[in-house]
Amino acid sequence: MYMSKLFDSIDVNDEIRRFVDNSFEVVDQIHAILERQGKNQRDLAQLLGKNESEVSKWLTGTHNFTLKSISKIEVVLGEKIITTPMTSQKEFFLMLERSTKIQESKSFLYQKISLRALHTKYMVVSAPSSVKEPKGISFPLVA
Amino acid sequence: MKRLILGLYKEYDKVAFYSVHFETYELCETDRFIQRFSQHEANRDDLQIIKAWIEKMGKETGALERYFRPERNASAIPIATSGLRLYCIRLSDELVILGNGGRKSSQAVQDSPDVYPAFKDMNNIYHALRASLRSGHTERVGKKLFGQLRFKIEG
Repeated sequence: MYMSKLFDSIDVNDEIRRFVDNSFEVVDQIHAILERQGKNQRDLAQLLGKNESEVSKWLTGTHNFTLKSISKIEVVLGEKIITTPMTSQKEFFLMLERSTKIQESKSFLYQKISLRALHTKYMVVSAPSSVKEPKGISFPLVA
Repeated sequence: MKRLILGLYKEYDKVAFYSVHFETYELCETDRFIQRFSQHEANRDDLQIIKAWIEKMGKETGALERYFRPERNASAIPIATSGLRLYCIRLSDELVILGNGGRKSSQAVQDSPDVYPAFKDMNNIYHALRASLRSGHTERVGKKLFGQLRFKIEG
């Protein structure tokens, strides 16, 4: 038997629901950054030049953050708090491009090493018996 | 002295919310808060924010300490834009006791006649409950409270 008789009579509209969701996301992101940087709410308040009680009020999940206050927090923490889907998409493709380039460079380097190893092997075969095979060359690379 | 009982108010996967029922009133304190503030259209958004906040923690995040604003030994759910406060006691990530509240009109809670009684009640309930938990008369197991749930506080 629940005590609540009026709670269910409150209809939460989509706008309010989204506002609370967004506020929680911003707060959770700020906390994640603070934790990663080994800081706490008091440090953040000091960095912002605010009272700790004011900052704690902001971080409850019901605060209506302005873009200006979010920007201020981003500046003092040196990290982004919010990213739009478009920006994260761009960042994803940029990362993919970099990773592809790294893969290409790796495969280019691999080919070069293989060729050098092959060349060394050829040199060893054709060299006089007094020439010793150099150390550090892995012949399975040729295969 | 005021006599009260703690009872389950709302329960979700992650959090159980209890409320305070003073024997002199028909409704529990959280419902009295809703009843009082739902009478004015101007408070509609604030009540919705409070409900969405409760549901968000109950269904998704748990009652993490960082979502509560400490006010002495109790906590408050502050609505910054209007100064509305709902007082509560956070016992763990999965157990919260909701109380009553009001509109805070000054920096110091003692100077806000609308919220001070609810603030004082929740702090008194915190002390009574803490003593009972320590003595073992009340037991907290996960999301539930067992044993002594009836208390007497000053007032």
